Amino acid sequence: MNFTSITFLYFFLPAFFLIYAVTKPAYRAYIMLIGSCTVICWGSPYGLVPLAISVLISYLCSLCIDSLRDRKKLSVLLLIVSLLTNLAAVVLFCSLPTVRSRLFTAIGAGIYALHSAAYTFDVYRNECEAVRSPLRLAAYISFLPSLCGIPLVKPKETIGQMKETSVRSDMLTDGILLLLFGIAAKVIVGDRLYTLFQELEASAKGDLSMLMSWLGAFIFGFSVFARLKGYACIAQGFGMMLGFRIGPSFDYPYSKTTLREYLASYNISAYSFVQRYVFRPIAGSETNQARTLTASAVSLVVICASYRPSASFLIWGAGAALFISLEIILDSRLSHVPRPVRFIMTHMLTVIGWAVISQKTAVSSLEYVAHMLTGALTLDTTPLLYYFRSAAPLFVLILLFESKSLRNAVAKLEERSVSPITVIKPVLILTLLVMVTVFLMSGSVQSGIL
Amino acid sequence: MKKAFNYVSAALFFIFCGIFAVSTLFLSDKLPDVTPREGLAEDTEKFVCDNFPLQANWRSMYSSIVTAAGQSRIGNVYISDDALIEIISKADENKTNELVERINTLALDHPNVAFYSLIVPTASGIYSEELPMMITALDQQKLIDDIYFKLDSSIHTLDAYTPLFSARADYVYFRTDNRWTEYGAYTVYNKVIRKLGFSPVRLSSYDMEYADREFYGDLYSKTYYKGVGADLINIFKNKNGSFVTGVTSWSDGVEFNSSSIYYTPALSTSNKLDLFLGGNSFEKCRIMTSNTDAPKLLMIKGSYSNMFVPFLTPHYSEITLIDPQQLEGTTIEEAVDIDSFDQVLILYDVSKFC
Repeated sequence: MNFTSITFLYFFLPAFFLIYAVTKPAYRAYIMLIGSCTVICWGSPYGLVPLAISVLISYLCSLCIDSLRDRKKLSVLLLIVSLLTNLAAVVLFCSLPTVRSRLFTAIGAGIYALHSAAYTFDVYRNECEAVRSPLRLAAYISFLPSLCGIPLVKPKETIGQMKETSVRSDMLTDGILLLLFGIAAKVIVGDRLYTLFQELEASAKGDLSMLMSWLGAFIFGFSVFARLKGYACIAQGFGMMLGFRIGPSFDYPYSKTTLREYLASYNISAYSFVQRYVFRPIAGSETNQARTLTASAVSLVVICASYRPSASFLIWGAGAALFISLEIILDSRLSHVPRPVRFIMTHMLTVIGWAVISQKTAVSSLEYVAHMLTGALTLDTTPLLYYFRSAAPLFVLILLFESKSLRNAVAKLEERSVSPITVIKPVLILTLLVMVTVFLMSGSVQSGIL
Repeated sequence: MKKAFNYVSAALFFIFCGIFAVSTLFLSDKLPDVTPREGLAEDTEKFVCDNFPLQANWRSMYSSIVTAAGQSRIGNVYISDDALIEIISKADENKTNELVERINTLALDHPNVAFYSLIVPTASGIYSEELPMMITALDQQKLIDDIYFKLDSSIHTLDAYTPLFSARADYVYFRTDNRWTEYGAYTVYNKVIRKLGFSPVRLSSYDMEYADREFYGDLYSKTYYKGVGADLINIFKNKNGSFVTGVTSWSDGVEFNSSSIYYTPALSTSNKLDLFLGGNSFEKCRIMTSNTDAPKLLMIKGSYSNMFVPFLTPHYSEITLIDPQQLEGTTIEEAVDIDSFDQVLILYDVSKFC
């Protein structure tokens, strides 16, 4: 079930929430599991197979690891078995075209394999207790709000919160508002920008000028950001409605000056997941530059594969690894470069990165980048102005909602005993609900994240 | 205070959702179709979308928002100053080849019958030069030429593009529907009828009667854009009287008889263009005329054909229309005896190949 659909918003969400709210807190995890299974089955009942594999293997391995703590080698072996089986589950998930095409539009790709791997790893490192109830573990692995593909949630915090969730009126209202804001960001801004990008590509018929290709990459980049941000807000809001506190997934990436900062602030949960479970184990605690670079490269491959296992994403991962390595190697020299220049350099590189993943095949990705770098310098004003004029209001909207000053102003207002935000919340909720319904009913909604 | 507002906000959300959900499920005019088609999830989502309350209002709001934001396109419909145009951006090569193959086979199997092919461009093809350069519209003239090139040499090809293009400043396509007007059909008839062996009836021999002045077609139903005025449905009535003596139509094997090719009750329904031969609901339709000595025509029809038929009635003794889309599990040969006709006219619009 797509989280940006009328069926979800008007039927599944209210019905599920009511059942969840009237259930005793001790049993809410099971209701969540039923909800997750419903969402997965809505896409394809076969989606339950990799979930079952992930749950079974991480449940058995974590219990064995927990009881065999003194036998280090066996624990490592069990950890490897768990990681490989989860990897196999992802491959199974991705290799069946009919299942994949229907599931990828309904839920995030392989999110439960990543949750399962994270859980087993944390049990191995004794940072999380082994869960005795397989159903509770299944509720974490298939964490319902995250089924839209973002964010990855940490095992210890989430399993801990599951034991004592409480539905609170303030969290419920904020959650509804955030969820509606997320749907709006996705269907009003993200999908429109993506449609514009598709129109731009179709109208150019493979012959983009330099300026048009840059504008196209900008539009695509902002569309992905709005869609990811939308889904992250939906998950965060849905989680709050159910009594879970899920951290934000973005930390103003468009204000960052280095590639590393940008990457760390863009989809924070994926970044911290990779850093915790991939980068640190490979890089170790020593300050060895070769190991650090290897760890960066592997981490980027995992990040891009978690978005979509495709050649374009691998090129993006390789390019990002190269430029981040250069950033690490040239760190002392780059520190002398004025901040505005570094800002422009970083964001030009990220736009090129967006151009790479905007294409379906490796060849078309490279061709698109070639247009950006060596395309004709013609000033084709009519289409350029048309696309710029169409995209500009949406760019402004994104930058407005991504401005720290707006956030600070809202936070300050909320601190007051009678906040104007609280007073206008009912109006905001109804306005957003009407707006998203208008767009959901228009048939212009695109499924999936990328 | 804060808590009270929070309760009000949450209650409003759930009440709003609840009212719409209940209305969708229980207050809809349409009964849920229990026959599974694509799967439970798809069928449910389709049911919800089809039965969600205030459909027209939501879509109309969407049109207002996007056009106010400066967009001139809603889905695949382009909004020009005075018309809605469905953009056809590319042809389906497999579909085209398959259809061409079927037409060729039919013509080769019946060598004693003269076959004619008339492929009509849509508004997207005729007005492609007037569309903004950002909108990629298929070159329909080229597609029609390609299709005609692939057709067997025994099939006579008729040019609908040139007369429609020449008359593009006139009311040849509906403003809110993707089909041609009666005048558009006459423009093509006037040009191609000589190739079928007849002299055209002059435009001055017709009285133009307005059947409806408030017609909003399928493109309006797709966009609910109100910035384009309503269409007119004209009936061209021959001043010498109607040649039609009887019309027999078959739908699901059931026979319907009428004395006119105009089904006027359709004007009080949402499908007002069903005025012409009852629309596209019949698998077969036979029109008998008073010209008993004239040749017999079999027309293999697409959605543009019904508006073309009124102009053919002065020339034929019998016109039989076959709609291959409605022939479920039956071939054209099983439905009619092709060899009993003098001419076969295949009339499709370009969208049939896309």
